[in-house]
Amino acid sequence: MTNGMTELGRFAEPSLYILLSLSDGPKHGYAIMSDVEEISGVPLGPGTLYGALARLEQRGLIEALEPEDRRRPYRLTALGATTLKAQLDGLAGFAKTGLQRLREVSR
Amino acid sequence: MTRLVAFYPRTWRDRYEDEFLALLAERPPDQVDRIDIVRGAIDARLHPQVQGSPAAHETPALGGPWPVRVGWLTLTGGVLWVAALVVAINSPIVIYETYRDAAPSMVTYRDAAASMPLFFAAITLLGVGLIALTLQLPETARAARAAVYLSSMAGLLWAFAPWFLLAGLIGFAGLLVVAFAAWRAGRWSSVELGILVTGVGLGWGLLLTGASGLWGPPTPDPDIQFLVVVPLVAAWVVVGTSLARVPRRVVSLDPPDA
Repeated sequence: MTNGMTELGRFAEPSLYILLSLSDGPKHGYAIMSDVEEISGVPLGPGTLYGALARLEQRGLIEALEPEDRRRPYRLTALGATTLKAQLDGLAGFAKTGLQRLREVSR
Repeated sequence: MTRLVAFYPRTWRDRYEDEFLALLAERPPDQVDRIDIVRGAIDARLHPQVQGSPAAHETPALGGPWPVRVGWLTLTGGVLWVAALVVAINSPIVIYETYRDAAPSMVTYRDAAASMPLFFAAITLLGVGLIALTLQLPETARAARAAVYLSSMAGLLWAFAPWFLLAGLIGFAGLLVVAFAAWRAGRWSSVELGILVTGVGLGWGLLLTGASGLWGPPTPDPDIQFLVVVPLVAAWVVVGTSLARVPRRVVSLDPPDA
């Protein structure tokens, strides 16, 4: 098992949003959907949400908690938090490089 | 809404159905969501993620009776292939008086237009079988997935224009890539792979060497062109039988890749 997100194919981006959504505490499906829509501005379909949740759970990046009235919350695992941090660090480096180059060009 | 959820495999529903339905009750899906749910169900069947049940990691990803039906259709395609050749061989001979002096080898040919619908149907059914077979392969068989697209397109082109041999050649080359992937994945035995490679190699080998004149021109006996492609029927037989038989359940302890 690898912790890379690229192997998740079309679920890579939704998975990253889900990890980010769970970073401030456990959430159930509907709360994740609402949060992801708020973060990204793009609605997450139910099929995509559960395709990504199943992949993240299978890889040990998130874990399911006891259901509350049919709604099951999920939370980030330690591995999930590490993976999210690595992804965000990578994105931060990417953004930094991009902004730096744009500044150099505009001089 | 439960009708859409029914598209998901049983193992997935055992694990997620309750919370999924609760989600859909909280946020009723629109048309885009419905399409997304169907896509999710197809994905859950092709790339099962749910553990705890042997069915989650079974190799055959296309469940139910469909592979078996497609297998029988593919076998029917093989019958149509042979039928097309029989019709072609019994087609009227056309005499080209114009070429009698200039190109004696082209004096006669069979007008096999009557066999075209059979030929088209046979190639199409082989393509359908090939796609079904590829869907049963593990997600890691990326070369096979790429090959099946190419093979289907080329095969369709060949079905419309049998004289365009390059299209047929590309189509069957793609078939060999899928066949090798099926063998590597344990879906096919070495015997099955051997029969297919021999049949396809023999058919195309004879056709190409015959078409290039290496072992003599196909005329004045125009039937030879049809006879040499009979061994290609191995493709329909092997692909069809591998789909039509009840799959041997191969359970892997390794987690799927994606």
